Amino acid sequence: MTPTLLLAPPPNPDMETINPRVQFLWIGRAVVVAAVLGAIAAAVDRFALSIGSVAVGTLLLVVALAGTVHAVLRFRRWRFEIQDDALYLVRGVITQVDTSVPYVRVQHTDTQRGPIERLVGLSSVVVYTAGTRGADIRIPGLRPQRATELREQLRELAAESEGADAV
Amino acid sequence: MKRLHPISAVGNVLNRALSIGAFGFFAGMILSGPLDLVPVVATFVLAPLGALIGAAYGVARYYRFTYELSEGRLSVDSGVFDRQEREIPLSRIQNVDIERGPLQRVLGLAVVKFETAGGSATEATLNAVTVDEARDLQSAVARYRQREPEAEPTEAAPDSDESDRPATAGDDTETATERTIERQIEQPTERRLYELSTADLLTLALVSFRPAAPAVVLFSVPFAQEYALRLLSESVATLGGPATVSLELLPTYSTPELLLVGIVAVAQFVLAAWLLSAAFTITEYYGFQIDYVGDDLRYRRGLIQEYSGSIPLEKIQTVTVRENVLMRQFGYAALAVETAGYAPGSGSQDASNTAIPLDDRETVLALAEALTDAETPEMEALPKRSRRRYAVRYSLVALAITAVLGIADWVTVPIPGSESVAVSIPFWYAPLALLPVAVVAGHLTWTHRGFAVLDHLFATRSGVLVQATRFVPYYRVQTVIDTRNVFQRRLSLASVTADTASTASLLGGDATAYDVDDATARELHETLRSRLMADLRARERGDRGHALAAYIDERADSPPDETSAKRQPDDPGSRAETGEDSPFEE
Repeated sequence: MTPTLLLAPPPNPDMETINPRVQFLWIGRAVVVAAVLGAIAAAVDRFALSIGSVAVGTLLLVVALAGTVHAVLRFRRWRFEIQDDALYLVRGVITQVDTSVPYVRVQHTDTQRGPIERLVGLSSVVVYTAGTRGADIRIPGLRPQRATELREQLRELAAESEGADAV
Repeated sequence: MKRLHPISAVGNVLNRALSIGAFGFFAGMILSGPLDLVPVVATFVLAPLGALIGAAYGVARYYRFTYELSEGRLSVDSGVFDRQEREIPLSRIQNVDIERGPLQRVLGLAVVKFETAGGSATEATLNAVTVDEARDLQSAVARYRQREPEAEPTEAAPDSDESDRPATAGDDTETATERTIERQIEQPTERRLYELSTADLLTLALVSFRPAAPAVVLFSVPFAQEYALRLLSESVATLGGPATVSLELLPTYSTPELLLVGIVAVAQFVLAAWLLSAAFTITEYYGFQIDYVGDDLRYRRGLIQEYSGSIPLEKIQTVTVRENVLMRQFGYAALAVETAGYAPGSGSQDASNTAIPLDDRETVLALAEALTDAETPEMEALPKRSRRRYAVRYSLVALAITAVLGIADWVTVPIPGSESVAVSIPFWYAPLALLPVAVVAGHLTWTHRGFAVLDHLFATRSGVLVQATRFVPYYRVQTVIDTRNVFQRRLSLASVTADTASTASLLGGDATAYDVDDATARELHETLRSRLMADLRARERGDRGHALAAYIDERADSPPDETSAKRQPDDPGSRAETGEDSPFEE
């Protein structure tokens, strides 16, 4: 596997990026996952099979490191664009996903701010469609006023292009 | 506001009285018996009291449950303690289903279910009304839809004084609305689209397998133990085995005898399950037919429990043709019509959402073509490197199994406090024999996948054991999703999914073009997006297909000349006025 496969350049440099602070959020999440896994491994080491504290430490470190790299790469890939008739999103590290959400299909839009997101001063916009697979599409890592702005913009675009039956 | 049929109240009251009465009885028994808190007499007070409360609750429920269909809405008020008022706009109703159990058929009653998009549960269930009322409701919803485009303005204008009135004027408004409808639509066309022949029903019964059948056989064995054992002994005896078979005698048999008994028992089990499965299928699909009424598809099926329902053409999301290995061999196929409400025609006991359970391929494809207004597509093959990918993927599975077994054979497991255990696995390398199989499987996966971009339709095909060909009209596409994982990117491949609101994709039935060339995928993504917009605009102008009309004419044996193919000859007036809202008419 060549590194370029993971570091594939974003398709269009003009597309909007998300806020870099979102990396802290994702790295934090990876560290929590690593800590939980480490705790489980430590418990197994203590009470069942002896794995060795070195192995437990390595596991913790590897998971945290992998999570950090993933978070950075994920941030670098994340792009979105308000196009003529659809919202276009490009994201994903291991599996890259490109999604088009036509405005005609937007049922409603939300801005969401979880407690940890608030801590970093970020917000997400969630776009809902009637689809079964891509039913809710989240744009993370937005500054709160950009999130509100985007939500309003999407709402207007959806209203303008409204068809007879969104289903 | 209308009430349900009084007989349903009787049933409901009896049911509640019985259940709460029984609760009272057992509560009395426990309180007086083991707990010894109250005298035994309490049981004879608690039980009738419970029954009385239950009956009262049943009566209250019946009187609280009212429904009304007027002004383009279905209003249902229900609940005794937890009151609920629900209003469903008729234009949002995806399907209307009518179910009739044996008792309901004797009493002339029917259960009506209204499904809308969103939510997994049925939005409104009327349990039960008279059959005539059920049919009226069904056609009222259909009629409303036919005049839907101009519904809001015409309804508001003449009835505006009435619509302001309180609910007591409901009946007046309803009749007024109905009169408007009657004026606009004289008589909906009713044509038989499809009928499942007896021969096909029997074939279906023989080839379809229901997981419920073996379970039922297994559970019923203890109850019919004597009979099952006698049958087993007799068959074993005729085949030259031991004269009697019973559990106690099992240790006394020789190995060949034991083998014989085992084989016969399994064979009888399979046979019983098979027959039962066939019986289930026959009762479920007996008399299956699809009619075309107005702009709805109406289906009907069932021997004991009768199911019927309407699927508005307007609401069809996707159409899927399914063929399993056996069916392909003998030229059969099944057709599923999916809406956003749920997949109609599937009983709760049958997860496979079948519209036509089985028929010869030509018939199924002809109906699929008529419903989707498209020719059966020539699928575009995937690039050759996709085949390599599948072969490698399956080979890796075989190698992984081998590796796991090999490592298990090789390592010794340290167990604290006792001696290490070495597991020896004979022939741990045997899964390597699967490698050629993996290559063949890879090839088959490759040949069975494909996609097609048609005039108004995106079609995908996948699945080796059960091949599914999905037809997605462009104007039904919700989102377009490309995915490329690391391995796909290495070969510059991508998968493109056209997501729809169809409930079928909840069961893993996405319309996905797998592992197409990267450039093709980008092109496909753009195409799906632009066609969606183009077709939506075309539909707003009223430019719709007419394949179903042609199909109906062909079946009616009228020569499919140009006029009859393009226009319904029997009711030109009403069609011209209102026909614009069907996707499959001119």
